[in-house]
Amino acid sequence: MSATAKGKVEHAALTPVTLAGEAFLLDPAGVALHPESGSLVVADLHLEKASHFAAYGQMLPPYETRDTLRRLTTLVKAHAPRRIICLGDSFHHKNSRLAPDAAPLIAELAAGRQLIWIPGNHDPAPPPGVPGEAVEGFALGKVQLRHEPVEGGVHEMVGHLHPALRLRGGRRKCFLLSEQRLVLPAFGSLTGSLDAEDPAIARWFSGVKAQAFLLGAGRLYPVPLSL
Amino acid sequence: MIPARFQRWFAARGWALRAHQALMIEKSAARRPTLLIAPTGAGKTLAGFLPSLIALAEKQGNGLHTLYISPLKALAVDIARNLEAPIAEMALPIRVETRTGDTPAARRARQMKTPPDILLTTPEQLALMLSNPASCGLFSTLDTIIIDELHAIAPSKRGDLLCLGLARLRRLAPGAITIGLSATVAEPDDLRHWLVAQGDAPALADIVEVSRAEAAAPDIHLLETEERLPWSGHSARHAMAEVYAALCQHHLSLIFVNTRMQAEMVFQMLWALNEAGLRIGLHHGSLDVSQRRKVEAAMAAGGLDAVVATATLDLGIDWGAVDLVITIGAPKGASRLLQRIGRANHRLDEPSRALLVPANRFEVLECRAAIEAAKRGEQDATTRHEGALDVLAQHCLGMIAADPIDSQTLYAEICSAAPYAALDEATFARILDFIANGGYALRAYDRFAKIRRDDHGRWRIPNAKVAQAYRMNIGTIVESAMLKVHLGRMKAGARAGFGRLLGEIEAYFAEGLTPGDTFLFAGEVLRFEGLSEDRVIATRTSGRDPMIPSYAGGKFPLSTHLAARVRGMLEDASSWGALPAQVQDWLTLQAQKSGLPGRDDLLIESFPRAGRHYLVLYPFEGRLAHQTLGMLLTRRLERAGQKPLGFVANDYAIAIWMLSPLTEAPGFLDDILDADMLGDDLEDWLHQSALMKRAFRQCAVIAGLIERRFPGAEKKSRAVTISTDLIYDVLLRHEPDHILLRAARQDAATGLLDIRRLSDMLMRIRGRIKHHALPQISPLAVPIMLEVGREPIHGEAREALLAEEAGRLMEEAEG
Repeated sequence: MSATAKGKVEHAALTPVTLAGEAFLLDPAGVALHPESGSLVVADLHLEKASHFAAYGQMLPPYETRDTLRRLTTLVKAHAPRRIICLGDSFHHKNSRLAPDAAPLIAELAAGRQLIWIPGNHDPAPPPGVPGEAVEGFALGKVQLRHEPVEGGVHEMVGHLHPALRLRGGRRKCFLLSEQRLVLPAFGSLTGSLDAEDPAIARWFSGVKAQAFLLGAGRLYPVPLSL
Repeated sequence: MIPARFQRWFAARGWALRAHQALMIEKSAARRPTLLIAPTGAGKTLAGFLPSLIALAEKQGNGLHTLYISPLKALAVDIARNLEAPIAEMALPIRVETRTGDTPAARRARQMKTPPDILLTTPEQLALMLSNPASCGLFSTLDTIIIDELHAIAPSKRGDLLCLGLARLRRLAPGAITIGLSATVAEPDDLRHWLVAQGDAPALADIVEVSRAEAAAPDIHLLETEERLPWSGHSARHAMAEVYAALCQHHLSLIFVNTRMQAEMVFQMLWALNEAGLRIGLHHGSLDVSQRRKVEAAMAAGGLDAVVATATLDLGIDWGAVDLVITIGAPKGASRLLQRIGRANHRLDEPSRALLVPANRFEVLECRAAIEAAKRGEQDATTRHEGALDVLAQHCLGMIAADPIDSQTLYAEICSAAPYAALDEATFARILDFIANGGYALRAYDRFAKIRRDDHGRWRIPNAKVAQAYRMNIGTIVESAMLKVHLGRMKAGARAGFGRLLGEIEAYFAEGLTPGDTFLFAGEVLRFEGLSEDRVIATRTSGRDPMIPSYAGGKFPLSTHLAARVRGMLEDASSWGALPAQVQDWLTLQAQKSGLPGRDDLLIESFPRAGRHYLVLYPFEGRLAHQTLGMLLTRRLERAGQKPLGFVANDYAIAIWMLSPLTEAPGFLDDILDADMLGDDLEDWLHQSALMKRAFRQCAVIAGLIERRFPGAEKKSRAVTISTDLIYDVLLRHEPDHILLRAARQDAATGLLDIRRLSDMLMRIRGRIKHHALPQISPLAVPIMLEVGREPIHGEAREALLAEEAGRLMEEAEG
């Protein structure tokens, strides 16, 4: 889904992919769908990142949290999932406190569906008072959902890496897919990203056949990767 | 008039005291702030310093007496060298020191403790000193403040910051006077206001002008090349042999180019021709500072025969032995040309010699117009602008860090600076709010406030960390994001240290490279290995020809003044006799096949070519305004169902290509070129505009929203950088009238998007559009059409480009 300047919503083209025999649909807004279980998977929300930086003197716009949640809400409304799974680093810091104006937005997301929080390296647990279930990990079929990839992780769906790819025409956040793993782009409104060729990311895809799906306006751009 | 010691010294040098130098001494004695207007080499420096030297010779100083500020680091260093001569030769008991970004911390600390009599420094260093509470004492003894190259610095953000600094100095040293040294300008009164406090009645400094009769008329030639003049491109490759011949005939030549990339290319080409073994140096801002110093020193010591340089040497360093100035490409403005040629033969009574080398046919016109303007001493008008808001934010934090102060006092001090004389209280309050907590309507950060009011209503900083962060990031007047270039290879796995630092390169350029591309840098051909932590990693290659052509058009667009002159030349066929034969033929052919642009109208041509349909416009308003116009026009064309694919723009023209021919509906062009495009269309487009985001990035850094440097940042293995593009997006969605967005829009209007200029043009051409529908490309269109392959593509075409590239890669992979 993409919203134009005038607020009109156009339906985006979803890209189907498979991992460990499970069918997923990738949305160019940066989330993944698992039609069989009615799950929507999102990674690296980094909520309250702005307020964290503000404490250290860099006053990033405090609208960041509600901006991220609103974008997520739009997607949830469009896809009507039964379950939302957040793949960790949902909150920027372990001491993050959700701003008062953000609480209703999360409540709305949680209403009438399962809201799952997987811990990340930044957030061992969601802040007190936040609805949903905190679990160590989750599985969709044979695919393990966790925050970051692990050595020998056979079929996993992760976040953490914040991948992006640079082509002539621009640098865009992207999904990364191989037979072993699917990496989601970072969803948070103020989250930065790292080039897929950086050793920190490339090591998870070196020597294997892989693809990147670049986030475009209304669609994804698949690009072969050899890292 | 002057003490005997000085008279003897003048006599020993064979000099006579000039009228303007005597006047400056009088003004100083009468304590009158003064603007001195003189072409470079008119003994401006001495005129500026004489009063101070005389005063200090007669009476022992007791602390800092004279503060000299110049926009260039190198200038301050060079003036020190020049002052040392009279001081040593007259055995004056005067201590002169410099303080620049390169001065080591220990020396800076010592200068604060035991100040010299004369301190030479830069605007950024002044801002640093003023933010330090100890500075109050340092400046209290100040007698004279000299601002050099005022014409160059006043119209910029650095000028705004400096003017605010002066306002603070006036408070710290009420008895000091300010002297401005400037080249000839179109509006000297602007500078006279700039130098003194503006109160209820706008005040002016006095003015002393070196009469133009005293300065010999410049001797400027256009290179009449025997070679074929190219249609487009900026390398001037065709003329290099002739340029080299000119170098051999002169003692020391300065070769000016418009961009760093051009400097690299010209340097390479000259060395390839260098059979006579001339000592040719290279100087531009991206080179490491030690390399630049070497070249500067070698030049002054007579160790070089030629130097290829960009703007870093553009300002008034009096290189005594330069006897020829060559400018490659178009000078962009009459004033710039005059300033550059002022360097040659800097003695007042000998004419400066200059050779202009246009790189293509259009540039011939521009060079010719510039020569005419220079001969008449015409200047480009500088547009008066309001003081930048991001600079104001940076300055206010510094002032609060130095000394707790209440709003009213600070406000009054700021309004005394000419660029901020019209600042309203509401905006000032928003700036303070911004500094304190980011200035958001959503008050989320009051508890983190960077400045707070104490019990007496004075603003102060809550702790030393705020001051430390401020000092580390001060004056980062970001012109373009630059990335460091290191030698080395990309290593998978463990992060190794970076290899040797070669200099810095424009981020936008680096971002367009893929591993394996070769490019020119620091005089050699490098191979791009990759980006690591925001640094470019490259290896040396033995290759001669870099693969990646660079955008070499220049940072400055063609000035309004020159543009008008060029249009006038085109309109008046009888003036073509002064142009090279090749150019005359070209224009004559154009007159036959289509028509020439007029001074006040807009020529538009349309023609088919290779399956596409082109629309070429010739506004002659400079690249920046054209890019904006191109963006807006393509949106309008799209809405009108015309299917534009993209466009390119240079200083003279815009070429838009479309899938189908232009509609024949009457009045269509008048409609899409209506000035109302600067309303909603502009707002809509600003959303996604990469240029607007760049403006915002600059504002965010300067205003202190984003800190580039942190204590201990070097130790972190991953750079903590925040994308200002993301911040821009969020802010635009939630608080579109935030003060930083307002600052960015202000920049866009005059700077990156040149909206004001575009607006003037649209009004000018109203009802005066001349459209020629042609069966094929016209002679005048050839240059811009050639750039279709080379120039960056704008507009919706970007997304299409991404799709194309992705598709191509997939196809390759699928074999």
